[in-house]
Amino acid sequence: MKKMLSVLLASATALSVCCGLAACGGDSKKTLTVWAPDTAHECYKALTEEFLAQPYQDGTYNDYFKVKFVAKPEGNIQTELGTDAAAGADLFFFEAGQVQDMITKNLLQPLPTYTAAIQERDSKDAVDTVLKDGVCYAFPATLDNGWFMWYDSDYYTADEVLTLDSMLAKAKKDGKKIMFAYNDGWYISSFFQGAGCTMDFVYNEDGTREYVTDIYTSENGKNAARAIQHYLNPVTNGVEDKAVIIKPSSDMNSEIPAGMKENTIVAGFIGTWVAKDMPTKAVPTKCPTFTCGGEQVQMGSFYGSKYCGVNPRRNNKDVAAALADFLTNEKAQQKRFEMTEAGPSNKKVAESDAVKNNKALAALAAQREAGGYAQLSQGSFWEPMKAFGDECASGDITTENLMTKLEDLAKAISK
Amino acid sequence: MATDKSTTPTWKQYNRSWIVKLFLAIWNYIGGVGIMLWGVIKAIPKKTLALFVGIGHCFQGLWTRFIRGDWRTKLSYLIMGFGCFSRGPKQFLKGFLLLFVQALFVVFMVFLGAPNLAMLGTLGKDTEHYDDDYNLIKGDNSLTILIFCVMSIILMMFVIYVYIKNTKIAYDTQKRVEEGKPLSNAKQQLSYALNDGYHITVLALPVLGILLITVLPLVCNILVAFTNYGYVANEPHYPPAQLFTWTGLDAFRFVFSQSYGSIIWRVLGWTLVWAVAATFSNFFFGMFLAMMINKKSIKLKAFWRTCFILVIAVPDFITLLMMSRFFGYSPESTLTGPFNIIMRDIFGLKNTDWFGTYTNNALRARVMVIVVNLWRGMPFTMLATTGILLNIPEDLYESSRIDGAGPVRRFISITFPYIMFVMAPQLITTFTGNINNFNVIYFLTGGGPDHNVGGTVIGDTDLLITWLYSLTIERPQPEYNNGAVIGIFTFLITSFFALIVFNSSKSIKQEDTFK
Repeated sequence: MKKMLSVLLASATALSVCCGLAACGGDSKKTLTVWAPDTAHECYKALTEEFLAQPYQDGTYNDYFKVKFVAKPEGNIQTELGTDAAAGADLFFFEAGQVQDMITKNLLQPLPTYTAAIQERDSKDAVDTVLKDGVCYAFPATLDNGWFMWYDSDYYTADEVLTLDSMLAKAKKDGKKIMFAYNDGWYISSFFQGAGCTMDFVYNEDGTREYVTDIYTSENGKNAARAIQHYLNPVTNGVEDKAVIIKPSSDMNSEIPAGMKENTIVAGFIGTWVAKDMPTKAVPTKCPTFTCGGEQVQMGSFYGSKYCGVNPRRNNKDVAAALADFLTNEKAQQKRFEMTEAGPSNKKVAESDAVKNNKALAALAAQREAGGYAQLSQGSFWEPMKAFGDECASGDITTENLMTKLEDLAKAISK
Repeated sequence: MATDKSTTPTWKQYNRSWIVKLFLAIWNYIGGVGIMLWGVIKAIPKKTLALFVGIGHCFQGLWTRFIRGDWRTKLSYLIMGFGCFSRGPKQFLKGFLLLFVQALFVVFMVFLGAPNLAMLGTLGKDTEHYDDDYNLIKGDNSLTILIFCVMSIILMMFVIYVYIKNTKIAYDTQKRVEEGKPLSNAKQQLSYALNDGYHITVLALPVLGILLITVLPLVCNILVAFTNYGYVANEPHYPPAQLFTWTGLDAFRFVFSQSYGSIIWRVLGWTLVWAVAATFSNFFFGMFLAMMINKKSIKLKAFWRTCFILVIAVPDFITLLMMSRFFGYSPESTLTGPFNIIMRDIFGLKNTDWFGTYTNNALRARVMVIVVNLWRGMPFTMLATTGILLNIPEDLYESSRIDGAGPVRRFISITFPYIMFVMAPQLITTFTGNINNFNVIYFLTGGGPDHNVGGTVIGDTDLLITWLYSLTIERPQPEYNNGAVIGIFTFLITSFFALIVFNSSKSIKQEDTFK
């Protein structure tokens, strides 16, 4: 590994020297690099042109800067940036789960001059995640990273989708499937959230943070674990082809719409991003309730924003911050919503009729209202949660060893 | 009658003796390995002593030359090359070259070496932070400190060697002058470098390259195992944002006895099972395939060979990713993998989770990765074996036929020894390669099915190397220190097997016999 790394480093150095020499011959404009998901490029490129036409020093930004867009998905920015931040993008779009890690790794430029404006214009749910000691560390760009339920309205009535139990009973009878990614911590932790467990960092008085979870120590956590085991175990859920709750085999973004069209999947738990692929009979709504300790409890789900951050290790931070501000203001969010149906974090845009009439976004808001749980950023959370879901479904976790396994789970996510 | 029986053994006796022979061979092999290991251990004190004696001689020489040297030689102890360039223009090139080395070294040490070496004990003091105006103020970077320290030490060793050589040259030149012999001029020195000393000229750059490109990262990697470079006790230690520091054997304790103690042996067990199964299945099936295609009665030999070689022609990760999709599974019959659809539509087979990753079936996952690896790796052995088969002298088979040997006996006594003789070194490389066979596991199952074993998640098909990957690359909080420990562990295991098998294989021992 290390050997490869040095060879790569050497060739990268050689390459960058070449590039540097080549750049010397070019024009004197400075380049700002933007990492953004490719779906948003069209929108942001148009906005950037407007930005560059604004006055700057003796002329416009255009005279001094050019902007380069690179397609990078929002989910993995901290790893990509972490290897060599100084060589990374000047500004980048990323999702909420990475915020804490990025702040500890000094990958986000604090924005004291913009903090008041951000708090003024964006939803509190979006701002709180990036607020530390009264300073914002990134600009909220959307508030749509979350999931809810899509169901087949030809198959289920609106009353039947109120509880998970009634949905499962009907699907089981007819041999239909419900797709729920129980092999993904982002989804399976829904039950713990619904039961009201704590699974996130708390800040001590001296400013240090500490991870706290009560999934094993509280009765709520134990009940949620029992519920997961109950819904997923092979006896109630069925084995292999007989299973009612199924997980995606590789890509749920294509499998849920495909299964819905084939009339084999009658409900799927996923977010707004599949809206354009869904058949018209698929209706978005908030998640159903499930039986937890003998009571009906609303299924929870994570919600989170997507943010635009500024790289503190690059020069021209001020211009990058100005551009980031421009790409996430009210007008920009309005435009991104119009072009890609991204849910806005901006209060005014969120209040607009167009957003309110968007069914998927309305369902997302309803779910956030009913059982929303702020996106957490514990790095070791996801792998053990995935294993827990898988082991429940395969029957490795039984009612007998459930509590030992729950303790292992709590131990693993607290690491 | 009785004498007859003892001279010509019945089939049963013959067969039994063959099995006994096999066991004896295995026993001898293990014994041989033991003796070899003992030999290595026995040699350690002797060799260490020899090392120190050598170093002692070096310094003794250094001292004697200083005492016997004239002022020029004595001064060259301070200014490298002085003993040469002070004796006239003939020796300028040599002298200034030595001086140049010294000057370079001094510049390096002053600007990079010394400041970093001063922080070697703590690996940095100032942490990166934001000032009151929220500008990022750079701190010390533990990683670059570590790298520059190791680099300085390597360069120091190199310069010490040149330094000792320099005193020797100065003293030799002095002696030549005293004896009234002519000194060599620049042309002669150059011609020495290109003729008698050519090996030095040619090897100098590669040796320096190996030191910097191979030894330096390796040493740094090993040293990381003794630090807290990672996420330790809920505290991040990632340069440049944070510092890391020496923690002694903490990471080793963490991996072998505390957190990972319960699973590392489990992972190692499967790694070895996998390496043995993957290597030998590929070897034997590839060999039998080659023999089958090589049979006289088989038509279209080139065609069959090409079919199998096609697998080699496509890059590994493409075929592997394709295989993992091909055998994909979903309980929803329209979303399941192509293989399942084909089997259902043509043969009416049940929709099956072949890889076991959907249903968390460890056995299926393990068998499938070995089977797919067989499909992928068999052609390599087939190719190599085909060449060997064509080279076995036909008269050996003819005479064995005359002696009444059957096909099995011919295989055991002629074909297999021949193949083994040539293939043994390759078998070793394949085995060590399989211990680190990242691609097959990562692209087929990703290490899964995952289980939580006492608070640590580990996959049933995870090898040491894929586990290392998930610890250091896939985690949002990479554990580089624990990764380094696992890296060292893997290195020890692979080198253990490689050295032992390499030393005891026939083709190495009898290098000259096969012509």
